[in-house]
Amino acid sequence: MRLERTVYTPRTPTETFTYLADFTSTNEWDPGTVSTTRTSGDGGVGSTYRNISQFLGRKTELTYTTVILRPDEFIELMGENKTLVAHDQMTITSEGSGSRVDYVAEFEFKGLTKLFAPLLRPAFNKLGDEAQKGMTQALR
Amino acid sequence: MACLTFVECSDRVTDVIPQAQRFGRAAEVVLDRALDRSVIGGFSNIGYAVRSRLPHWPADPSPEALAGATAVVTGASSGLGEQTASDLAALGAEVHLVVRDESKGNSVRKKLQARHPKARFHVWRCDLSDLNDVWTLGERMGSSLTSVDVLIHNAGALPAKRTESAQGHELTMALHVLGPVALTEALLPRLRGSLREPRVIFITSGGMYTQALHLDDLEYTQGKYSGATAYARSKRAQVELLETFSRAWAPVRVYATHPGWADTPGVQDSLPAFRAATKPILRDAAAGADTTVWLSAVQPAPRTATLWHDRHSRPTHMLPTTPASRADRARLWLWVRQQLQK
Repeated sequence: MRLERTVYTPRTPTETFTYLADFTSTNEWDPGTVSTTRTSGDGGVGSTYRNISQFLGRKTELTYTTVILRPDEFIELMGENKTLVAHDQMTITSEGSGSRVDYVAEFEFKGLTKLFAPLLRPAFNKLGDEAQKGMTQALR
Repeated sequence: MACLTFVECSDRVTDVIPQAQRFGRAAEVVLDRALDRSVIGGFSNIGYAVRSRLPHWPADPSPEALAGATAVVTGASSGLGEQTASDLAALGAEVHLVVRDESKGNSVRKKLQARHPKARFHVWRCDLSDLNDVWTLGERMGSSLTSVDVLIHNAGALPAKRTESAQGHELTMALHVLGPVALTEALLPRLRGSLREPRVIFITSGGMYTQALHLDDLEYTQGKYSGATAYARSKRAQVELLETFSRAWAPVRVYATHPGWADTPGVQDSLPAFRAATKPILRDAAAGADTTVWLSAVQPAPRTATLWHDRHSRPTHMLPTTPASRADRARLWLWVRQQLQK
Protein backbone atom coordinates (compact mmCIF):
# COMPACT_ATOMS: atom_id res chain seq x y z
CA MET A 1 0.00 0.00 0.00
CA ARG A 2 1.38 3.36 -1.02
CA LEU A 3 0.43 6.83 0.18
CA GLU A 4 1.67 9.98 -1.50
CA ARG A 5 1.08 13.50 -0.26
CA THR A 6 2.64 16.87 -1.06
CA VAL A 7 3.02 19.76 1.35
CA TYR A 8 4.15 23.34 0.60
CA THR A 9 5.85 25.44 3.23
CA PRO A 10 7.28 28.98 3.39
CA ARG A 11 10.31 27.55 5.23
CA THR A 12 13.65 26.99 3.48
CA PRO A 13 14.77 23.45 2.56
CA THR A 14 17.35 23.56 5.36
CA GLU A 15 14.78 24.51 7.99
CA THR A 16 12.31 21.96 6.63
CA PHE A 17 14.92 19.19 6.54
CA THR A 18 16.14 19.93 10.07
CA TYR A 19 12.61 19.87 11.39
CA LEU A 20 11.49 16.66 9.65
CA ALA A 21 14.75 14.70 10.05
CA ASP A 22 14.07 14.66 13.79
CA PHE A 23 11.28 12.11 13.78
CA THR A 24 10.04 13.32 17.20
CA SER A 25 8.55 16.18 15.18
CA THR A 26 5.71 13.72 14.43
CA ASN A 27 4.50 14.61 17.93
CA GLU A 28 3.66 18.00 16.43
CA TRP A 29 2.65 17.36 12.84
CA ASP A 30 1.18 13.86 12.73
CA PRO A 31 -2.31 13.74 14.26
CA GLY A 32 -2.14 9.93 14.19
CA THR A 33 0.88 9.92 16.48
CA VAL A 34 0.22 9.56 20.20
CA SER A 35 3.92 9.82 21.06
CA THR A 36 7.34 9.48 19.44
CA THR A 37 10.50 9.20 21.49
CA ARG A 38 14.07 8.68 20.36
CA THR A 39 15.37 5.41 21.78
CA SER A 40 18.94 5.40 20.39
CA GLY A 41 21.40 7.41 18.33
CA ASP A 42 21.92 11.14 17.91
CA GLY A 43 19.30 11.64 15.20
CA GLY A 44 21.67 10.49 12.44
CA VAL A 45 21.42 7.38 10.26
CA GLY A 46 20.72 4.32 12.42
CA SER A 47 18.93 6.31 15.15
CA THR A 48 15.78 4.60 16.40
CA TYR A 49 12.45 5.99 17.55
CA ARG A 50 9.53 4.42 19.40
CA ASN A 51 6.32 5.60 17.77
CA ILE A 52 2.87 4.98 19.22
CA SER A 53 0.05 5.72 16.81
CA GLN A 54 -3.70 5.65 17.03
CA PHE A 55 -5.09 3.65 14.12
CA LEU A 56 -8.71 2.48 13.73
CA GLY A 57 -9.32 3.18 17.39
CA ARG A 58 -6.36 1.08 18.53
CA LYS A 59 -2.89 1.97 19.68
CA THR A 60 -0.08 0.52 17.56
CA GLU A 61 3.59 0.63 18.34
CA LEU A 62 6.26 0.86 15.65
CA THR A 63 10.04 1.07 15.86
CA TYR A 64 11.37 3.53 13.31
CA THR A 65 14.99 3.66 12.15
CA THR A 66 16.57 6.48 10.16
CA VAL A 67 17.90 4.88 6.97
CA ILE A 68 19.08 7.79 4.81
CA LEU A 69 19.66 11.50 5.46
CA ARG A 70 20.74 13.65 2.54
CA PRO A 71 20.99 17.11 4.10
CA ASP A 72 18.33 19.57 2.90
CA GLU A 73 17.08 17.07 0.30
CA PHE A 74 15.94 13.68 1.45
CA ILE A 75 14.92 11.67 4.52
CA GLU A 76 14.17 7.95 4.66
CA LEU A 77 12.95 5.94 7.62
CA MET A 78 11.79 2.40 8.10
CA GLY A 79 9.19 1.52 10.74
CA GLU A 80 8.42 -1.99 11.83
CA ASN A 81 6.30 -4.11 14.13
CA LYS A 82 4.92 -7.64 14.07
CA THR A 83 2.32 -6.96 11.38
CA LEU A 84 3.86 -4.40 9.06
CA VAL A 85 6.91 -2.61 7.73
CA ALA A 86 6.57 1.07 6.80
CA HIS A 87 8.97 2.82 4.43
CA ASP A 88 8.74 6.59 4.68
CA GLN A 89 10.51 8.89 2.24
CA MET A 90 10.43 12.68 2.31
CA THR A 91 11.89 14.55 -0.63
CA ILE A 92 12.45 18.28 -0.10
CA THR A 93 12.89 20.66 -3.00
CA SER A 94 13.05 24.43 -3.02
CA GLU A 95 9.90 26.05 -4.35
CA GLY A 96 9.84 29.83 -4.74
CA SER A 97 11.09 31.28 -1.46
CA GLY A 98 9.99 28.19 0.48
CA SER A 99 9.98 24.46 -0.14
CA ARG A 100 7.91 21.53 -1.17
CA VAL A 101 7.83 18.18 0.64
CA ASP A 102 6.85 15.04 -1.24
CA TYR A 103 6.01 12.41 1.32
CA VAL A 104 5.73 8.79 0.24
CA ALA A 105 4.79 6.10 2.74
CA GLU A 106 4.72 2.48 1.65
CA PHE A 107 3.48 -0.36 3.81
CA GLU A 108 4.42 -4.03 3.48
CA PHE A 109 2.12 -6.26 5.52
CA LYS A 110 3.26 -9.46 7.16
CA GLY A 111 1.42 -12.75 7.51
CA LEU A 112 -2.36 -12.81 7.57
CA THR A 113 -2.64 -9.02 7.62
CA LYS A 114 -1.80 -9.18 3.89
CA LEU A 115 -5.24 -10.70 3.24
CA PHE A 116 -7.30 -7.85 4.61
CA ALA A 117 -4.82 -5.03 3.92
CA PRO A 118 -6.91 -3.75 0.96
CA LEU A 119 -9.79 -3.16 3.40
CA LEU A 120 -7.56 -0.75 5.32
CA ARG A 121 -7.17 1.54 2.31
CA PRO A 122 -9.77 4.15 3.39
CA ALA A 123 -8.29 4.31 6.88
CA PHE A 124 -4.80 4.80 5.46
CA ASN A 125 -6.04 7.51 3.11
CA LYS A 126 -7.54 9.34 6.08
CA LEU A 127 -4.22 9.00 7.91
CA GLY A 128 -2.48 10.52 4.88
CA ASP A 129 -4.92 13.42 4.63
CA GLU A 130 -4.58 14.25 8.31
CA ALA A 131 -0.79 14.05 8.18
CA GLN A 132 -0.76 16.36 5.16
CA LYS A 133 -2.88 18.92 7.00
CA GLY A 134 -0.83 18.57 10.17
CA MET A 135 2.49 19.00 8.37
CA THR A 136 1.23 22.05 6.46
CA GLN A 137 0.23 23.67 9.75
CA ALA A 138 3.40 22.74 11.61
CA LEU A 139 5.63 24.10 8.83
CA ARG A 140 3.85 27.46 8.50
CA MET B 1 20.62 -26.07 -30.53
CA ALA B 2 22.66 -29.15 -29.67
CA CYS B 3 26.40 -28.58 -29.71
CA LEU B 4 29.16 -31.01 -28.97
CA THR B 5 31.78 -28.48 -27.94
CA PHE B 6 31.81 -24.89 -26.86
CA VAL B 7 33.68 -23.90 -29.98
CA GLU B 8 31.15 -25.61 -32.20
CA CYS B 9 28.38 -23.98 -30.23
CA SER B 10 30.05 -20.63 -30.72
CA ASP B 11 30.08 -21.16 -34.49
CA ARG B 12 26.43 -22.10 -34.56
CA VAL B 13 25.37 -19.11 -32.50
CA THR B 14 27.35 -16.84 -34.79
CA ASP B 15 25.46 -18.39 -37.71
CA VAL B 16 22.27 -16.99 -36.26
CA ILE B 17 23.44 -13.38 -36.63
CA PRO B 18 22.42 -12.87 -40.29
CA GLN B 19 19.00 -14.30 -39.52
CA ALA B 20 18.57 -11.99 -36.56
CA GLN B 21 19.56 -9.11 -38.81
CA ARG B 22 16.96 -10.14 -41.34
CA PHE B 23 14.17 -10.30 -38.78
CA GLY B 24 15.12 -6.99 -37.24
CA ARG B 25 15.16 -5.56 -33.78
CA ALA B 26 12.70 -7.96 -32.16
CA ALA B 27 14.79 -10.97 -33.18
CA GLU B 28 17.89 -9.25 -31.80
CA VAL B 29 16.22 -8.68 -28.46
CA VAL B 30 15.10 -12.33 -28.31
CA LEU B 31 18.59 -13.53 -29.20
CA ASP B 32 20.22 -11.22 -26.67
CA ARG B 33 17.93 -12.38 -23.87
CA ALA B 34 18.21 -16.04 -24.81
CA LEU B 35 21.99 -15.72 -24.53
CA ASP B 36 21.71 -14.00 -21.15
CA ARG B 37 19.36 -16.58 -19.59
CA SER B 38 21.37 -19.51 -20.95
CA VAL B 39 24.31 -18.14 -18.87
CA ILE B 40 27.00 -20.05 -20.81
CA GLY B 41 25.91 -18.42 -24.04
CA GLY B 42 25.74 -14.93 -22.61
CA PHE B 43 28.59 -14.81 -20.10
CA SER B 44 31.22 -16.36 -22.34
CA ASN B 45 33.06 -14.85 -25.27
CA ILE B 46 30.27 -16.27 -27.45
CA GLY B 47 27.83 -13.77 -25.98
CA TYR B 48 30.18 -10.87 -26.60
CA ALA B 49 31.05 -12.05 -30.11
CA VAL B 50 27.41 -12.34 -31.09
CA ARG B 51 26.04 -9.25 -29.41
CA SER B 52 28.78 -6.87 -30.52
CA ARG B 53 28.01 -7.77 -34.15
CA LEU B 54 24.29 -7.11 -33.94
CA PRO B 55 23.15 -3.93 -35.71
CA HIS B 56 21.65 -2.44 -32.54
CA TRP B 57 24.77 -2.93 -30.41
CA PRO B 58 24.97 0.47 -28.65
CA ALA B 59 27.51 2.73 -30.34
CA ASP B 60 31.02 3.18 -28.98
CA PRO B 61 31.62 6.41 -27.05
CA SER B 62 33.26 9.11 -29.18
CA PRO B 63 37.09 9.03 -29.03
CA GLU B 64 37.18 12.17 -26.86
CA ALA B 65 34.18 11.25 -24.72
CA LEU B 66 36.12 11.50 -21.44
CA ALA B 67 38.48 14.38 -22.32
CA GLY B 68 38.95 16.45 -19.17
CA ALA B 69 37.29 13.81 -16.98
CA THR B 70 38.76 12.31 -13.81
CA ALA B 71 38.37 8.58 -13.22
CA VAL B 72 39.34 6.45 -10.24
CA VAL B 73 39.79 2.71 -10.74
CA THR B 74 40.48 0.35 -7.84
CA GLY B 75 42.36 -2.90 -8.29
CA ALA B 76 44.01 -1.35 -11.33
CA SER B 77 47.31 -3.25 -11.28
CA SER B 78 46.12 -6.23 -13.35
CA GLY B 79 43.28 -7.90 -15.21
CA LEU B 80 40.04 -6.03 -15.75
CA GLY B 81 41.16 -3.04 -13.65
CA GLU B 82 44.27 -2.47 -15.74
CA GLN B 83 42.27 -2.89 -18.96
CA THR B 84 39.58 -0.49 -17.72
CA ALA B 85 42.20 2.12 -16.77
CA SER B 86 43.79 1.80 -20.21
CA ASP B 87 40.47 2.09 -22.07
CA LEU B 88 39.33 5.09 -20.01
CA ALA B 89 42.62 6.84 -20.79
CA ALA B 90 42.08 6.07 -24.49
CA LEU B 91 38.85 8.09 -24.24
CA GLY B 92 40.72 11.02 -22.74
CA ALA B 93 40.27 10.53 -18.99
CA GLU B 94 42.91 11.28 -16.38
CA VAL B 95 43.08 8.00 -14.49
CA HIS B 96 43.87 7.38 -10.82
CA LEU B 97 44.97 3.81 -10.23
CA VAL B 98 44.24 2.55 -6.73
CA VAL B 99 46.44 -0.46 -5.99
CA ARG B 100 47.47 -2.53 -3.00
CA ASP B 101 51.01 -3.13 -4.23
CA GLU B 102 52.64 0.18 -5.08
CA SER B 103 55.56 -1.21 -7.09
CA LYS B 104 53.18 -3.29 -9.20
CA GLY B 105 51.04 -0.18 -9.63
CA ASN B 106 54.03 1.85 -10.78
CA SER B 107 55.06 -0.71 -13.37
CA VAL B 108 51.50 -0.84 -14.73
CA ARG B 109 51.48 2.95 -14.84
CA LYS B 110 54.68 2.91 -16.93
CA LYS B 111 53.15 0.39 -19.29
CA LEU B 112 49.95 2.40 -19.65
CA GLN B 113 51.89 5.65 -20.04
CA ALA B 114 53.87 4.14 -22.91
CA ARG B 115 50.63 3.00 -24.55
CA HIS B 116 48.89 6.37 -24.03
CA PRO B 117 51.65 9.02 -24.13
CA LYS B 118 49.24 11.96 -23.83
CA ALA B 119 47.24 10.55 -20.92
CA ARG B 120 47.86 11.27 -17.25
CA PHE B 121 48.02 8.44 -14.72
CA HIS B 122 48.49 8.51 -10.95
CA VAL B 123 49.09 5.68 -8.52
CA TRP B 124 47.60 5.55 -5.02
CA ARG B 125 48.38 2.75 -2.59
CA CYS B 126 45.54 1.40 -0.50
CA ASP B 127 44.32 -1.90 0.93
CA LEU B 128 40.62 -1.46 0.25
CA SER B 129 39.65 -4.12 2.79
CA ASP B 130 41.19 -1.98 5.57
CA LEU B 131 38.78 0.84 6.49
CA ASN B 132 41.48 2.96 8.12
CA ASP B 133 43.52 2.75 4.95
CA VAL B 134 40.44 3.66 2.88
CA TRP B 135 39.65 6.70 5.01
CA THR B 136 43.26 7.89 4.74
CA LEU B 137 43.12 7.46 0.96
CA GLY B 138 39.78 9.29 0.83
CA GLU B 139 41.23 12.27 2.68
CA ARG B 140 44.33 12.40 0.49
CA MET B 141 42.37 12.07 -2.73
CA GLY B 142 39.71 14.47 -1.56
CA SER B 143 42.25 17.20 -0.93
CA SER B 144 44.20 16.52 -4.12
CA LEU B 145 41.38 16.17 -6.68
CA THR B 146 38.89 18.91 -7.48
CA SER B 147 36.28 16.55 -8.86
CA VAL B 148 35.73 12.88 -9.61
CA ASP B 149 33.55 11.98 -12.58
CA VAL B 150 33.83 8.20 -12.59
CA LEU B 151 34.62 5.91 -9.64
CA ILE B 152 35.03 2.23 -10.46
CA HIS B 153 35.04 -0.33 -7.67
CA ASN B 154 36.91 -3.14 -9.34
CA ALA B 155 39.26 -4.48 -6.63
CA GLY B 156 38.30 -7.98 -5.60
CA ALA B 157 39.49 -11.22 -4.08
CA LEU B 158 38.27 -14.78 -3.71
CA PRO B 159 40.07 -16.23 -0.68
CA ALA B 160 40.58 -19.98 -0.32
CA LYS B 161 40.07 -19.83 3.44
CA ARG B 162 37.96 -17.54 5.60
CA THR B 163 40.10 -14.45 6.07
CA GLU B 164 39.48 -11.38 8.18
CA SER B 165 40.21 -7.76 7.33
CA ALA B 166 42.13 -5.38 9.60
CA GLN B 167 38.85 -4.55 11.35
CA GLY B 168 37.88 -8.22 11.70
CA HIS B 169 35.37 -8.40 8.86
CA GLU B 170 35.13 -11.34 6.49
CA LEU B 171 37.41 -10.38 3.62
CA THR B 172 35.05 -10.43 0.63
CA MET B 173 32.44 -8.37 2.46
CA ALA B 174 35.14 -5.92 3.57
CA LEU B 175 36.71 -5.64 0.13
CA HIS B 176 33.59 -5.65 -2.06
CA VAL B 177 31.13 -3.76 0.10
CA LEU B 178 32.50 -1.95 3.17
CA GLY B 179 35.65 -0.52 1.56
CA PRO B 180 33.86 0.69 -1.60
CA VAL B 181 31.09 2.35 0.43
CA ALA B 182 33.67 4.07 2.65
CA LEU B 183 35.66 5.27 -0.38
CA THR B 184 32.55 6.51 -2.20
CA GLU B 185 31.40 8.46 0.84
CA ALA B 186 34.85 9.96 1.35
CA LEU B 187 34.82 11.11 -2.29
CA LEU B 188 31.14 12.06 -2.38
CA PRO B 189 31.72 15.84 -2.30
CA ARG B 190 34.12 15.44 -5.25
CA LEU B 191 31.64 13.26 -7.16
CA ARG B 192 28.84 15.73 -6.49
CA GLY B 193 31.18 18.48 -7.68
CA SER B 194 31.43 16.84 -11.10
CA LEU B 195 29.80 18.68 -13.98
CA ARG B 196 29.48 15.59 -16.18
CA GLU B 197 26.84 13.21 -14.79
CA PRO B 198 29.06 11.57 -12.16
CA ARG B 199 28.81 7.82 -11.80
CA VAL B 200 29.95 5.06 -9.49
CA ILE B 201 30.30 1.58 -10.96
CA PHE B 202 30.59 -1.62 -8.96
CA ILE B 203 32.18 -4.52 -10.82
CA THR B 204 30.01 -7.33 -9.61
CA SER B 205 29.89 -10.94 -10.72
CA GLY B 206 27.38 -13.17 -12.49
CA GLY B 207 28.08 -15.51 -9.56
CA MET B 208 25.73 -13.33 -7.49
CA TYR B 209 22.81 -14.82 -9.47
CA THR B 210 23.29 -18.02 -7.48
CA GLN B 211 23.09 -16.41 -4.03
CA ALA B 212 20.50 -14.68 -1.89
CA LEU B 213 21.35 -12.23 0.87
CA HIS B 214 22.33 -13.92 4.13
CA LEU B 215 21.38 -11.17 6.54
CA ASP B 216 21.72 -13.47 9.54
CA ASP B 217 25.33 -14.32 8.65
CA LEU B 218 26.88 -11.40 6.77
CA GLU B 219 30.32 -12.24 8.17
CA TYR B 220 30.09 -15.89 7.06
CA THR B 221 30.77 -17.41 10.48
CA GLN B 222 28.28 -20.28 10.09
CA GLY B 223 28.61 -23.42 7.99
CA LYS B 224 31.61 -24.54 5.99
CA TYR B 225 33.35 -21.57 4.39
CA SER B 226 33.55 -21.53 0.63
CA GLY B 227 35.45 -18.66 -0.96
CA ALA B 228 33.32 -18.84 -4.11
CA THR B 229 30.10 -18.65 -2.07
CA ALA B 230 31.43 -15.81 0.09
CA TYR B 231 32.47 -13.99 -3.07
CA ALA B 232 29.05 -14.45 -4.67
CA ARG B 233 27.24 -13.37 -1.49
CA SER B 234 29.27 -10.18 -1.24
CA LYS B 235 28.55 -9.50 -4.91
CA ARG B 236 24.84 -10.14 -4.25
CA ALA B 237 25.07 -7.55 -1.45
CA GLN B 238 26.48 -4.97 -3.91
CA VAL B 239 23.56 -5.53 -6.27
CA GLU B 240 20.90 -5.48 -3.53
CA LEU B 241 22.25 -2.13 -2.35
CA LEU B 242 22.15 -0.36 -5.73
CA GLU B 243 18.84 1.40 -5.11
CA THR B 244 19.73 2.47 -1.59
CA PHE B 245 23.12 3.73 -2.78
CA SER B 246 21.36 5.76 -5.45
CA ARG B 247 19.04 7.46 -2.96
CA ALA B 248 21.83 8.07 -0.46
CA TRP B 249 24.35 9.42 -2.98
CA ALA B 250 22.08 11.26 -5.42
CA PRO B 251 22.50 12.88 -7.85
CA VAL B 252 25.47 10.54 -8.40
CA ARG B 253 24.36 7.57 -10.48
CA VAL B 254 25.23 4.11 -9.26
CA TYR B 255 25.58 1.08 -11.50
CA ALA B 256 26.85 -2.46 -11.35
CA THR B 257 28.35 -4.29 -14.28
CA HIS B 258 29.19 -7.95 -14.48
CA PRO B 259 31.95 -8.81 -16.91
CA GLY B 260 30.81 -12.33 -17.74
CA TRP B 261 33.48 -14.99 -17.65
CA ALA B 262 36.78 -13.31 -18.34
CA ASP B 263 40.26 -14.78 -18.25
CA THR B 264 41.94 -12.67 -15.56
CA PRO B 265 44.69 -13.27 -12.98
CA GLY B 266 41.93 -13.48 -10.34
CA VAL B 267 40.28 -16.39 -12.12
CA GLN B 268 43.67 -18.03 -12.83
CA ASP B 269 44.64 -17.93 -9.15
CA SER B 270 41.32 -18.62 -7.45
CA LEU B 271 39.35 -20.80 -9.85
CA PRO B 272 41.92 -22.92 -11.74
CA ALA B 273 39.45 -25.78 -12.35
CA PHE B 274 36.78 -23.42 -13.70
CA ARG B 275 39.38 -21.84 -15.93
CA ALA B 276 40.62 -25.19 -17.23
CA ALA B 277 37.06 -26.23 -18.12
CA THR B 278 36.03 -23.00 -19.75
CA LYS B 279 39.30 -21.71 -21.22
CA PRO B 280 38.15 -21.85 -24.87
CA ILE B 281 35.17 -19.64 -24.20
CA LEU B 282 36.58 -17.22 -21.61
CA ARG B 283 36.50 -13.60 -22.65
CA ASP B 284 39.64 -11.57 -22.90
CA ALA B 285 40.09 -8.58 -20.57
CA ALA B 286 38.96 -6.10 -23.25
CA ALA B 287 35.59 -7.85 -23.65
CA GLY B 288 35.31 -8.13 -19.85
CA ALA B 289 35.93 -4.40 -19.36
CA ASP B 290 33.91 -3.23 -22.38
CA THR B 291 30.59 -2.48 -20.67
CA THR B 292 32.24 -0.74 -17.70
CA VAL B 293 34.12 1.60 -20.02
CA TRP B 294 31.05 2.20 -22.19
CA LEU B 295 28.94 2.94 -19.10
CA SER B 296 31.60 5.36 -17.81
CA ALA B 297 31.34 7.44 -20.95
CA VAL B 298 27.88 7.03 -22.51
CA GLN B 299 25.71 10.13 -22.65
CA PRO B 300 23.14 10.74 -21.43
CA ALA B 301 23.93 8.59 -18.40
CA PRO B 302 21.40 5.75 -18.14
CA ARG B 303 18.92 5.37 -15.30
CA THR B 304 20.62 4.86 -11.94
CA ALA B 305 20.52 1.68 -9.81
CA THR B 306 20.83 -0.66 -12.78
CA LEU B 307 22.88 -3.76 -13.51
CA TRP B 308 24.68 -3.99 -16.88
CA HIS B 309 26.26 -6.63 -19.04
CA ASP B 310 27.21 -6.36 -22.70
CA ARG B 311 25.91 -2.78 -22.96
CA HIS B 312 22.37 -3.67 -21.87
CA SER B 313 20.71 -3.44 -18.48
CA ARG B 314 20.01 -6.88 -17.07
CA PRO B 315 17.70 -8.38 -14.45
CA THR B 316 19.23 -8.56 -10.97
CA HIS B 317 17.76 -12.02 -10.38
CA MET B 318 17.48 -15.21 -12.40
CA LEU B 319 16.24 -17.48 -9.60
CA PRO B 320 12.98 -17.08 -7.65
CA THR B 321 14.83 -17.75 -4.38
CA THR B 322 17.23 -14.79 -4.44
CA PRO B 323 15.19 -11.55 -4.25
CA ALA B 324 15.44 -9.75 -0.90
CA SER B 325 12.61 -7.74 0.62
CA ARG B 326 12.88 -4.00 0.75
CA ALA B 327 13.13 -4.19 4.53
CA ASP B 328 16.07 -6.62 4.25
CA ARG B 329 17.85 -4.30 1.83
CA ALA B 330 17.39 -1.46 4.32
CA ARG B 331 18.72 -3.70 7.09
CA LEU B 332 21.79 -4.57 5.03
CA TRP B 333 22.44 -0.89 4.42
CA LEU B 334 22.06 -0.10 8.14
CA TRP B 335 24.51 -2.91 8.95
CA VAL B 336 27.02 -1.43 6.49
CA ARG B 337 26.57 2.04 8.01
CA GLN B 338 27.13 0.60 11.46
CA GLN B 339 30.43 -1.04 10.43
CA LEU B 340 31.61 2.29 9.01
CA GLN B 341 31.21 4.19 12.25
CA LYS B 342 34.60 5.50 13.30
